[in-house]
Amino acid sequence: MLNEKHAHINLEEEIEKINACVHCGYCLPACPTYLSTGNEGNSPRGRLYLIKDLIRDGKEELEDTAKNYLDNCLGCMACETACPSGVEYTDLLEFARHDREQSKYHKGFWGFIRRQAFKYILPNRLLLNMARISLRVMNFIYKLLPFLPRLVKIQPKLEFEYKKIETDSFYPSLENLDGIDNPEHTVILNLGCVMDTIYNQVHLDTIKVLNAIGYHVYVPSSKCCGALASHSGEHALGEKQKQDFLKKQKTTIDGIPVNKVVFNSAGCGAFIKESEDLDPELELYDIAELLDINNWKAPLPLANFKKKIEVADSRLMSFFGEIDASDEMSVDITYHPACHLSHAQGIRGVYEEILKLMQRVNLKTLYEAEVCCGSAGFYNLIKPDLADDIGKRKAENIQNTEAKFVVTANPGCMSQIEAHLPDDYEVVHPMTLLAAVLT
Amino acid sequence: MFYLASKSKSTGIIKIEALEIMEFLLHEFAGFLKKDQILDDPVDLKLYETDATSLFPKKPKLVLLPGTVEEIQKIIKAITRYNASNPPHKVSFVARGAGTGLSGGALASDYSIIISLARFTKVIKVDYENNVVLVETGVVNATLNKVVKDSNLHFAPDPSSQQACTIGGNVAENAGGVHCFKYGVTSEHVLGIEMVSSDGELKYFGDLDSDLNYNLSSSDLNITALVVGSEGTFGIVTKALLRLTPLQDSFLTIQAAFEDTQACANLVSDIIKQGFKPAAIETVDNNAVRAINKAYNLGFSDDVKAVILIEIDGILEEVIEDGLKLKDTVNKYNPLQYEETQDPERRLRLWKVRKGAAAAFGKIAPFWYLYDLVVPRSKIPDALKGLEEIADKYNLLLANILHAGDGNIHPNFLYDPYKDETVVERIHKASHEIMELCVSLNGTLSGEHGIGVEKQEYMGHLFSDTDMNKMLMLREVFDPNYISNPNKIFPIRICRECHREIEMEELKS
Ligand SMILES: Cc1cc2nc3c(=O)[nH]c(=O)nc-3n(C[C@H](O)[C@H](O)[C@H](O)COP(=O)(O)OP(=O)(O)OC[C@H]3O[C@@H](n4cnc5c(N)ncnc54)[C@H](O)[C@@H]3O)c2cc1C
Ligand code: SF4
Ligand code: SF4
Repeated sequence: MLNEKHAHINLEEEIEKINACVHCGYCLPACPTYLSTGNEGNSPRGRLYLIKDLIRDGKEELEDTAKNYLDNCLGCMACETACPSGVEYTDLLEFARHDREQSKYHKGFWGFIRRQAFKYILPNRLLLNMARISLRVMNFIYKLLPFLPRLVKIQPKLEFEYKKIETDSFYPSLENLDGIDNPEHTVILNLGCVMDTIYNQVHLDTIKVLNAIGYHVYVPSSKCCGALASHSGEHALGEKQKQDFLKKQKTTIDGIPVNKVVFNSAGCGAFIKESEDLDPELELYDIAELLDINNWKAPLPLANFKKKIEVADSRLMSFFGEIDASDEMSVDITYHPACHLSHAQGIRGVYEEILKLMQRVNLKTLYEAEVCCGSAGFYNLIKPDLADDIGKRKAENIQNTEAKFVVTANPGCMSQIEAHLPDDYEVVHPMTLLAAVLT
Repeated sequence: MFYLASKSKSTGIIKIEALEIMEFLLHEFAGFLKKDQILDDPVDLKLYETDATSLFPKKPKLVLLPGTVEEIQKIIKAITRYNASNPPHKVSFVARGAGTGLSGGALASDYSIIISLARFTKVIKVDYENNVVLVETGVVNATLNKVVKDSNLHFAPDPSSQQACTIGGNVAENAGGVHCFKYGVTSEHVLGIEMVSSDGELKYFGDLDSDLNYNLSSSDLNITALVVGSEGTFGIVTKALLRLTPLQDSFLTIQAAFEDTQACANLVSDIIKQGFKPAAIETVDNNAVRAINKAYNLGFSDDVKAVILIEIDGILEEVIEDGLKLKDTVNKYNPLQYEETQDPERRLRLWKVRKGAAAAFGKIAPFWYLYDLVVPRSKIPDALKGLEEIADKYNLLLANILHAGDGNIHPNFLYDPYKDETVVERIHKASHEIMELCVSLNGTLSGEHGIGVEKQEYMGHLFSDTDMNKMLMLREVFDPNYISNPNKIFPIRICRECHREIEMEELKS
């Protein structure tokens, strides 16, 4: 039941939250861990039934089996989308995980290593790069010696070159637009940690896209936003990283404050947006929100944007390697919505709409599209087997669409999906695709 | 780890050590199932102690997650072998789909092993030429519909729980849904069945044969229709051949709110008398409106006591013509609010008042207990009045949802046993009177949720012992050893009669 650790938690509130669950089971088919195992304990309803013991029935501590089921949760929030009763699952899980200091992932040697990784590697560009290089070396070794046991079931392809992006710098838009000098048209783009290391090209592309739709971009010298640490239960560390991150989110141009912050990694955006103590002047956007053709905000007029997308035939085809493509040729693409975009931020349909504008793209419907791919922060490291099963299921669904190109907007999803697809498939961030089309 | 069994009240099985039985069987199961397919930890058993009901939790002795039909066969054969060599022990099995059942059908009996169909999720073959589909029975109803939607088809039975419930559960409970008024319930859409019977052998019924070929004109005795609705007591249905129905071109959804429930009930009779054949007529009353309004901010005023939803579909001209006539009819009853739409998004919003009802109850109280009565349509007003009186008498919070078109009433009691200690007892007492009310109005006990454990003791109000024994004889044809979901549907007293060996044991002890 409640002890000192829970002192700050209002039990009445938690009881009300858990009471909202009527055990109807509507959430089951939305849950990736249930889909992969068929086990009630791995379903949101099952987890809530276990959490009920703690909150309502005064149980001191959960059994190991129960804890394991809670640990299996990806935190993808698909159950919250599915639940008709508005159960605040994430909060309840968080409550139950307050006992997690005792969980094995937080204890002992590996717990220590993890904490050090969050503390020292993520915020440090040099160490991150070293990690990136060692991943590459590991990939290379795996390729040469495929029979080696995999330490980690994640092997991003890391094929593009790392190009350093200067921080504390401006990247002005060169579009010739009315009012382009307006400081309102400047946005802040953060490099973050994983994205910059593994998918650094995506940042370059994001800057190109933002410039193309008329935004000037400012890149601060911020570090990891703390999402990864927090989602893994290292709350104190995550909170500190977040505060440091937030301090970097303000600049001025000609004395006028710039306060639009753009995220191109859905996980970071979702995490920062849900902070309670945000500076009210800060405007936070996922890049998708600036590209929503149904709610257009960018300086470049929507008609111009649409035109650029629609006519970008040959560029598009050469992007997909169809250099000598005949006029009738088209390419099949499918889209995987990142959980942190759809379930956490409720941003849906933006990239699908843009893809539909591209005349020579066939957007293929992905079955179980909004089911998590199994990436979820460091989940692959903590639960490699389950992450692998979930990843395989996603890959199978992608293969069933017959599209060889997958568009998805989160670095974690990109590496997880890449790792589970055969070599002739390509996973593309929408920024990379758009940069190719727009510039 | 297992609990030691004590003398069971319900079947009178003498004291045996569950431990021994299960150790023996566990050993057998471990021979062909993987570790993650066998759940025997107390935490797991607790997780499977209930479905969407909350009043009758009962832990199974073991839960298995087979992945193939052969595995199910092996499981059942192992159980049968064990029972044969260890009389009078009777280990039984219970199929479980998604556990959204509302009559406790998927719960364990005293020596039950739960066999979950959660891994049977393949849509095996969609035949667009003949509009049929062959599925494994763990496929979720809504998932199947997503698969065939692009081809403008659907599996018509649409229980409110369709986003989660499985085809196996639909078949077992003969599930209905809001659009079944026009399209018919599950039994009208099942063409053939593959079933593992209680001796572990595979049986094929209806249009499906053992090579999974189908002959859509087969004219044998319609055994499929018997299996549909048998609540898992005939065996485990592993595959089903289903009819797909073309989606209609257009629809019109009407929502109207009334100050008094009577007007709403009269309107329903009027619509049907006039010969309209809407795809759905649903009403929601009083406390239910309040709960849903609160949960989804639907903007009904406080005076609203009943809301009706009417949907018509078909070709555009027809829909428009009928729509105009329906509007006139509805307006005769002076609604406080009226809205009609042909917009798919708005339609979903209007339907929220009905489809979101059950979940919205969670906002008022943590538990709800739901009944599934059917009365002749003309008796709906009497039924509503009687229900209100019973709720008042026992001081219970009543919320009614009605598939008004076919007289199917779902009264719900919303309650919180943590705040009100005697509420469960009062509900049990009220249940008794509700069943009596229903019988006195020439009604039946279940429209679509099945009898399960929930209503088994009320079967005697409706059927004579002779009738029930005849039903049991039919059941015995399929499950002579009485091990497939035993002790459900019929009153325990009757179950025991057919369970003679156990009775003998009981006499001895
Ligand atoms: C909020 C809510 C709304 C609902 N609305 C409706 C509604 O509108 N209409 C309606 O009809 N029902 C409704 N239900 C009830 C329930 O969803 C249905 O009865 C559904 O068909 C059960 O499916 P399931 O997969 O969850 O089955 P379960 O609950 O797992 O099992 C139900 C019964 O079917 C048996 N069974 C399951 N699978 C098989 C199989 N493969 N072979 C043999 N037996 C099997 C079980 O043994 C059990 O007896 C509702 C339930 C909830 C929670
Ligand atoms: S979390 Fe929501 S959807 Fe899942 S069982 Fe509870 S009430 Fe139903
Ligand atoms: S957050 Fe995702 S993994 Fe966790 S219970 Fe919900 S749906 Fe399942």
